[in-house]
Amino acid sequence: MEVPRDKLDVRDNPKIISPPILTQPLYGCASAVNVTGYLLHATLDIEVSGAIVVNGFPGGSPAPFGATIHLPNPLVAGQKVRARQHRAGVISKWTSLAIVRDHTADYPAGPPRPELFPTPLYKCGARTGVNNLLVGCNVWITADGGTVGAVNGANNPQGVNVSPHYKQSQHVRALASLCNDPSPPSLEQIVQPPPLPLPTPGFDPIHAGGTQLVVNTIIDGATFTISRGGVSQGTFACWGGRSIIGLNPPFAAGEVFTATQELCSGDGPSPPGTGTVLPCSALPAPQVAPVQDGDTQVVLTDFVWGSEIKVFVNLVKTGDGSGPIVALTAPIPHGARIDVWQILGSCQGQAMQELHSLCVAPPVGSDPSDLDLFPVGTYEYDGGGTDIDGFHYNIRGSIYYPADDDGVDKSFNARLAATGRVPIIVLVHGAHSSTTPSYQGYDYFQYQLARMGFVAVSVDERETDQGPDWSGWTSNIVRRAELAIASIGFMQQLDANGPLFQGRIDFSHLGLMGHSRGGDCVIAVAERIALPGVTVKAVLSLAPVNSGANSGKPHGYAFMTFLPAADGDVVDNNGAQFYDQAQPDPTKTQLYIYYANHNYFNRQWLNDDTGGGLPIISRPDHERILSTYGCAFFRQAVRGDATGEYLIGTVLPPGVQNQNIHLSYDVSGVRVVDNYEGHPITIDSEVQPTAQSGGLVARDFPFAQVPGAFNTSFFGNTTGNIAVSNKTGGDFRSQLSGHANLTHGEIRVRAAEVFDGQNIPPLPTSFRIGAEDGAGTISWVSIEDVGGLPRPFDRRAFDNKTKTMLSTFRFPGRCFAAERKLRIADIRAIHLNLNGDANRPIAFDDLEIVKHAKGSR
Amino acid sequence: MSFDTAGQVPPRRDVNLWHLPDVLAVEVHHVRFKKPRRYTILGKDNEVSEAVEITIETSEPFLIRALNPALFVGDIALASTEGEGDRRYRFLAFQPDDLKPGAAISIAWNSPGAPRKETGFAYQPPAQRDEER
Repeated sequence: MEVPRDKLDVRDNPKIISPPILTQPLYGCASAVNVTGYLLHATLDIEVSGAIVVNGFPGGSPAPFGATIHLPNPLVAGQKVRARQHRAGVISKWTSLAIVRDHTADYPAGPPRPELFPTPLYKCGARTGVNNLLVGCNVWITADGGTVGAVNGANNPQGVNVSPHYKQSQHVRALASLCNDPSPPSLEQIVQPPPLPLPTPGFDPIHAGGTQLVVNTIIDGATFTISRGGVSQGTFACWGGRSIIGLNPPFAAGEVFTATQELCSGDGPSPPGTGTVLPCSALPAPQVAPVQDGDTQVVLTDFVWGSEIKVFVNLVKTGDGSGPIVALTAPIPHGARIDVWQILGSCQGQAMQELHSLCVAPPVGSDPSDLDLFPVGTYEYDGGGTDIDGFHYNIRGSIYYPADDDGVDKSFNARLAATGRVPIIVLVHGAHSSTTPSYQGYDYFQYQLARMGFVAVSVDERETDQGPDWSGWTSNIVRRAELAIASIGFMQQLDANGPLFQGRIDFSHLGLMGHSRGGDCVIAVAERIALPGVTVKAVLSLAPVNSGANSGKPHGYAFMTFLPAADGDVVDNNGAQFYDQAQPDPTKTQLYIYYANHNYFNRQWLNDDTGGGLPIISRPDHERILSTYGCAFFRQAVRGDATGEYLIGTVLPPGVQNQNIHLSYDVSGVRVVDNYEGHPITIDSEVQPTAQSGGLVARDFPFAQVPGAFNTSFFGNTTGNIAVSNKTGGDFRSQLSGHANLTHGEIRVRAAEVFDGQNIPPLPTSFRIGAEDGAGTISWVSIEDVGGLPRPFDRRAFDNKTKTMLSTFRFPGRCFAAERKLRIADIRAIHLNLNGDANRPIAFDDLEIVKHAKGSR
Repeated sequence: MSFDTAGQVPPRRDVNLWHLPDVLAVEVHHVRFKKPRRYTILGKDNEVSEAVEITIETSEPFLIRALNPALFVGDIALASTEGEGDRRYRFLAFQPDDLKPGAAISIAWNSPGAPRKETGFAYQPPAQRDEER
């Protein structure tokens, strides 16, 4: 919400400025560090193990990637580094200490491979961006094998000027090294002819008072020339896209800037683009991402580059820095009011952005699918034939694997191989036309898995899609499982004596992903596989059917399922049955994905299975969900990477339509207060009494398509509590068998608004959780404060399968602690309180108390 | 500068997943299998040596999709199927006593509440053990 600046009684304490942000991790041998988030033209100090080694470094513009500060001596693992800023006689606090790491601990097979961007590269290009670097490394670019540009002590990303400029058809790669440890080469790019005519450059909005000019629509590698009132301000090389240029004096309203761009001089410049400076009154309030209690920074989603950002928490100045991340001088307290103000030189924004912190508002983290370490090789295998139930099959499929270089049948990455065998992920497609190469439809996912160090196999099961076989239903899916097992057996042969994979694959760390019938099949694979040395660590069941081909109770491995809410084929979202019955060994996760259909996760499945009957997110949005959540899942469950937070919603992946994803999750070892199974509603799972009051009536019902269900909107396979109250505030109290300490813990519960089978009321309903201590004090946290109860996904225009589908909600103890009388270490009962409209039933399940892992959010 | 009002592109003509073929003929046989058939229930393989087979001949193949067709005898669903060519399907009943003589035979996609298509045929138990396979 925007609030006029003059309506707020905020006091701008000029002595408070934010500490800057020191980019981490830091690695030994780095000859530079990167600092962001400081004020325009601030000076920066760097301290290494107690000694200031850089004093008063002129930071210049913090936009867009901060300052790369070269150090007098390379860093050494174990050193402690911090940074601070000065401006106008005010000194910020130091950043917290960052400990320098040995890069071989994080990258035992060498630094990650650089990425050239943006692509394609063009003839006459003068500058190229290089991404995926370790800050402080050395990076260089080669064209046809010869070095054409280099930077020592690089930032990430790093622009590299190219001389001589690119020539058409040159083969270009980037390489990097740290501690003389070389990275693999980047993916090769071949220089393309320039895109003529060159487009006209544009300008981001220019505001009076500013000094930072953002030029956009620049072609990769072009040079652009800026004029101010007809006077040239210089020519600059750009890797492409946008570029920020600092100019003086500050801009005045009505001033006109022009820009042209050029690649090859013989082709001439582009037409000029024009930008006119807007008056100060047009400076908007910045846009701010949701803030969670306890946050120590504020993230801006839209702001003017080069502006100063002031943050006030409960009207007290708590931050003063620059976007996109402003560090705060104190953590955000519970329920705080936050006002964010944007200032551009002499121009002060006339409105502030105001928001309130939430108990749960997960931050957006890094991309778990973006770990790019190795080139990717591909191999099409043919393991001969096998007969199952009288059907003959060929054992075929494709393998993507970490290689020494990109391409078909390239050698396995030698440095990775030297560190030991690598885990394997096996993908199984579902039923589709047998003429469609369905197994190729997850190539994007295979590529991502391979480049981060997995062997990713997609089994060609098209022969099971032929009518006489396909129509076998359960038997067909069992055959699919046995064919997948035959492929895994053939992988073992390749590992035993194949030219590419001998001694390379770790079958004791096997992950499985199956889609549609394949999603049912992979659970059967885990139950049937008896090959020596194979241990299934993780199963991802994407939009599965449930034919009875497996026990229906996934167990012995981490489990994840995707339920596309707009599935036009598996309309019952049968994966919910698997989730409900799965053992969290050690985790289980369910994604109920609004506006997702059945097919768009597979690139070869072209039709929308709803036939246009439901609104659907784009195919790339589907793929992003599989890429991010699938990689987070396999990395954590199969390889032990620290990506588990994505699976319990404490961190969100970037570039994903997170607002459409509703998670359920469970982990082993938690305290189950009530799962509503095997006992009457009058007691809980701890065999303690429950109590209903205030007009609330609660009963246990099967959450399944069975007689006795509350209605036909439940598609899982469990029992839960449906509570309804004839007036606002009806209460369900669960007594605990002994006290609970929520100081470093939280209450979790699955819940859903019950769809009544016909109508979806215009407004959502609500509940709150109460934590009651031994003295009878109750502290309440509303569902709205932890994300809100989703509305049912409406399928009524398509079919009668609108569902009541539960999601998991976290209620951290810190939020209850806002009630100061509450003895947070002595919680004796939990309340489910229906504080929404009367007569709106809510479904509950899995009321749990969970201790936080150290360092979790 | 010209200003295009944009012409809407018609949506791709997608396949109707819920289409069902016509059933042209129905045969009922009691069969003994020379080689026992594998029959899986909740992941456990069982072997069956005999069954009642209801074979249907359809006007066209069933569409290949995630779900399977089911054949209903009254309200008893038979989902275990063996294909024979692209328009003949044998639905197997391992507990044929559950099937009521005279019950109408219909087909549907195997999902609760999915619309059923009447075939115009009714179930009549086979008179005798009449086929070995």
